Amino acid sequence: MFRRILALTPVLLWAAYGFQARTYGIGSVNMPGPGAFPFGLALVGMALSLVVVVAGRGPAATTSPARQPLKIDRETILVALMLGCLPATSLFGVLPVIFVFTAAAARLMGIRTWWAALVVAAGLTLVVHLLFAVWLGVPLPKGSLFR
Amino acid sequence: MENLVAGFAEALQWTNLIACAIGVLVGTLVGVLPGLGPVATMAILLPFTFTMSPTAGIIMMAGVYYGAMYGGSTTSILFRTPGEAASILTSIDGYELAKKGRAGAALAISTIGSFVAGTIGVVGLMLFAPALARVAVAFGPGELLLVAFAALLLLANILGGSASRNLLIALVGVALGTVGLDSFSGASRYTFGFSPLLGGFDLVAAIMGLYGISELISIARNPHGAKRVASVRLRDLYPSKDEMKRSTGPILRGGVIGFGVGLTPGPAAVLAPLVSYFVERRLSKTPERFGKGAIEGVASAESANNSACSGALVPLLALGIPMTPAAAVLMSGFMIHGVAPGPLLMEKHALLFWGVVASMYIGNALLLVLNLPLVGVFARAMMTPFPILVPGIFVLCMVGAYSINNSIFDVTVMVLFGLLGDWMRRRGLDPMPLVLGMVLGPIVEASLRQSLILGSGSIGWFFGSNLRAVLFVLSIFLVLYSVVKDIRKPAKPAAGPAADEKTGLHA
Repeated sequence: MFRRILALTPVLLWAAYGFQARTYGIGSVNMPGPGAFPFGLALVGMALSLVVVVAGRGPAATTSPARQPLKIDRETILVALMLGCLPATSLFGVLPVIFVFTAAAARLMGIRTWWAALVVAAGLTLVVHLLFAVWLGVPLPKGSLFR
Repeated sequence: MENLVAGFAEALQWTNLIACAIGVLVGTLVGVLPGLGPVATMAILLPFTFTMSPTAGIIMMAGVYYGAMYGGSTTSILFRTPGEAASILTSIDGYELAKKGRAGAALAISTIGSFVAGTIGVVGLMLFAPALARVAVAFGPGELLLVAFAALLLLANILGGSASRNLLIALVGVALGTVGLDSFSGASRYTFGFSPLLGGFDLVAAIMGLYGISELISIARNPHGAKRVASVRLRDLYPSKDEMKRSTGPILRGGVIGFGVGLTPGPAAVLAPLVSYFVERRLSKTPERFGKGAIEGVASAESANNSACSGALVPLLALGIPMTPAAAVLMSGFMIHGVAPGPLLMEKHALLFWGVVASMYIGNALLLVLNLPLVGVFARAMMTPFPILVPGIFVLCMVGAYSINNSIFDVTVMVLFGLLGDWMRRRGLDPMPLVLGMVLGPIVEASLRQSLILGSGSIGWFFGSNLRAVLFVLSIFLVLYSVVKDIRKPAKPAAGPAADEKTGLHA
């Protein structure tokens, strides 16, 4: 039962999407406004979501894995490292972040020593600098701390 | 014929030949790197052509364009990381082949297919440009709306599971495409005051996330489960006789289909592989192999996207109307050198026109010579250990996503779409309808609104021309087909985590 109720989430999301669309102006059939298309899309989306839920074919009807206790595994750490790169790049610039990320991710993925991880990190950072900054002329972000 | 000979004489001059070689080399490299696409690279290279002759400048920029289409398949096949939407279909069967140790064969077929289809495209461009250009401009908003709509329905039917579920995912993609500034009124939609969202979600960043980043997360979850190639034997580097035989038809048909679809405005490079793939799966006696490592899948998709490049140049060269972003940048290259592309191009600048056409033959041959020996090098990249591969791919994707608009926001979009892609994989859902929805959504909206304005809100307007009427009937047929198929053959429920590595394509 709970799963069925949860399956209605897409319907509610489409409803919220359509409700927001109304605020942009629907216009008329001859001259549709900026909200007309999203509003129509929301109606179609709600109908289709209902069809999928009723037919039991939607994501909610799939066999989801049994709930497991929260544990910090390799996957979680990698995602955390990726997410951590975003604010870190704004602060420190892209090259230092690439160096640290590569060393940490290489170690996480099974490289044997920290020395080897640092060598891989240095090599990759150099390649990125030469390829993007020097050769292709892409202005890599320097980071607010170094400006 | 005389013109073509004169064109070859012009293209074979040292300066033009070097410009062509630099163009295809840079294009291939850019194609291999995810993120920085051909349009951005052509724009970056534009100032370098100022000091060149008009012919050399245009030849170099055209070389970047089709060179990038060649290179785009490499990361798709090896690492399931398509650098642009046009390579997504290549990644489906290409990556499956790579996991079976046939990366070399897939890369070689994609190179040969690109060469043959590219040549078909250039022949089409040379012979039919003026006539076909008129067909291209007959494509108004109504026709475009119906083609985009039909493409969405086509995709919903190609992929596994129920068509309605696939269509629902595509609608989510369309909804994501509405975020940002409205192209008609300039009103900001679904940005909630957050200014980086005004430009919407960048498609390339989203694709890199949905495919590349989600693949990395999957590897981190189960590194022992991800199949790796222990060694690459010489005989595995190139396609077998059987693979060559099976690829011949798809390459030739893909070349013709790609050129035809390339003439239409909008995302022809995305639609062409989709149509070609669909046709091949329909023609195949063993359609169940598609999506599980069918060489025909790689051949059809890759040849179609290269041929579409030549098709996209027809309206530009014959009428002076750029129908794709890349054609628009190429047009600015013409204008900078004081040459106006269009009906008078062949009369006033015949040598330039035929020189560019001839250089495309030469460029295609150069790409074949350049890429075939590199197949072994690329195929061996599959042997790279995970501790180097995982951070390496993420770093390349990160810098690639940043370089699209020089914005950290695009990197954020990439990572968030990566998490979404991982969630979808674990639920057995294919991210492809989402991508196609994001590509086609803005086109569907713009052409629908234009059609409603032109037809004063009347549905009868869609029967005002034969082309529109045919497309309208085709779209209705596809809707009915999807519904009837779902009712008659209930879809199997998605398999959740077990479906992780499957693409879900069904016969």
